[in-house]
Amino acid sequence: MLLSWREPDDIKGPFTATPVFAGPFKIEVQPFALRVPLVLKPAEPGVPWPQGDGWQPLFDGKTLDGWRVVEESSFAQHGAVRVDGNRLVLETGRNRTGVACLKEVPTTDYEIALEAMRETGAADFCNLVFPVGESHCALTLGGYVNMAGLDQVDGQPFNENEAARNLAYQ
Amino acid sequence: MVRHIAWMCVILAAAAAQAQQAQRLQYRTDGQIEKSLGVYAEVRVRAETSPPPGVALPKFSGDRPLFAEWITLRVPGGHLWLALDQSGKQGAYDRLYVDTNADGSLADEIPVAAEQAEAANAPGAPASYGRKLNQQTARFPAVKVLFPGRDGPIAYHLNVTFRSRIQRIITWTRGVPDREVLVEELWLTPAGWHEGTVTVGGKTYTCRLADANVNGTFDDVSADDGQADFILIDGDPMMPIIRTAGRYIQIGGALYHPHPASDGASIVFAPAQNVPMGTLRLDVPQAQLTVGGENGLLYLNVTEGKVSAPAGKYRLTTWKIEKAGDSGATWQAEGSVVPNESSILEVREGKETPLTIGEPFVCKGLDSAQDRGTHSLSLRLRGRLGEPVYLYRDGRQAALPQVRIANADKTYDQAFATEYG
Repeated sequence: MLLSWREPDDIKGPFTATPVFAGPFKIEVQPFALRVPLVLKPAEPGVPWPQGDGWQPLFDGKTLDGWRVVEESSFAQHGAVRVDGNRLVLETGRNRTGVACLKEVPTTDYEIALEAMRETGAADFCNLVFPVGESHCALTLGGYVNMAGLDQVDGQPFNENEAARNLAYQ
Repeated sequence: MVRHIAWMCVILAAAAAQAQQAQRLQYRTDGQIEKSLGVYAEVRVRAETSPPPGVALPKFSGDRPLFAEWITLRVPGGHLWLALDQSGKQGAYDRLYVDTNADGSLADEIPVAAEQAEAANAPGAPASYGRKLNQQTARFPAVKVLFPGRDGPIAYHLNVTFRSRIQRIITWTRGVPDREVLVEELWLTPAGWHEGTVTVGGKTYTCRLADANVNGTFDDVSADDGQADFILIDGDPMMPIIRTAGRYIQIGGALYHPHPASDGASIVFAPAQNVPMGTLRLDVPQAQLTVGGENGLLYLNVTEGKVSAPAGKYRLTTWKIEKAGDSGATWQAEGSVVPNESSILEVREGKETPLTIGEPFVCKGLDSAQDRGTHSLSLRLRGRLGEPVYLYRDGRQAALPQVRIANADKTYDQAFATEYG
């Protein structure tokens, strides 16, 4: 059962949706809040990121040491990968462009931080696959234009599970 | 009067004896049994490039023939080989070889041409597969296989569809975030069934046997959904048509032991006597349940919150509950239970087993925002076992719920219609 709804410009949220059923059956309806878009704040130039102790940089900002350009399967016709002004730039390929970290990384009890920017296009621009024990998960940014989420949480795709967010990308 | 009773005894005894005799069924074939019988049967087998050892092969036209093994207990070796070929060097797969005479050789077979073959490149498909076509469907006309029988070969018609697709395998391998593999499969469905008029309990019915797990035999019993062969009984006003092979079958309100022949050519219905029974206890006073297992597919009518059933393990597949609404309308809620731990129930002899279905149903909503300020809302109605619930009013799909959207200070409060999707 579906409904597409657009927030009115002149009225402030947040908005809550409540399903209303007719008929003799007892139905427990759980009102749910419509998702409020989150706004990502751009990093400030010159400010070290992320802050705090114990962070290990995976990218040195100068070379591709510790990384390899993925050539397999749908990455076969990838775009150029280069280092440009402290940034790792992945250009648009025929299908996908990707890099894989060759360093030893933890699989549990860790945090990973990423700063990513979409320069062109409107599709998902970042899929960060990270290990979770013996398995893995993926952070998807920019899917369905403005969405972000974690893939396969509760077996659901990134845009349908509880972790899905609507992000207002700058 | 005494004479009448004597005649009745003779007639009843004759009816019982007829039911316990093997009743003959004729083989019929008509393309897809899904269309003819209303049941779906399918098995998928992987197609591989490695040729089967010890099997004589024909001269293939294509440069990459595929081979698949069909498991069937109707031949001494327990399997038959199939092969796929391309009429062009690297074109679509459009030729099928089946070991139709079960002699362990494909060299003596005439290839069957596909009646429909579609092929396409997957967008951005990797060139590493070494050929152009990686998304293909090829449907072949029904192939007549001759199984060895005591009195000569016995026919079985098999539908074969070849499908290839790219499957994304999400796995964490160091240095490779994910990978994609080419999946090539043959989807096998039966194109024939056995049918005849049977007499059970003194009444006649049309009986059809269909090979649900597509292994060539018609007497498979299983606790798993889709693995027990179908026994379709038409003409019984008390029950739906579809039943399965199992320990019991309900016909005319009575329990019988069905004994279909493995080759499907006959069936015996033996009255079930001294059946160990247990009771299911529910929170709802009236309901209809469908349960399946090694006891067969059984339809249970719950009255006064309970129903008796033969002892054994079952999987609850569906339930229906009726309720009267306003203005005399009859409402029906149907649950379609997902096969999992909560769908398994065990009826113990002489004991009561609780079964939790019915109200309240739970409606959960999800907002998957599509764009800034635009929301896509979806609603799910679930039962107490987590199963999807569907509502009907006077036999038709009930009007969908509305969704009322409001903000905190109620300066916005409007109701919207939803639609199926």
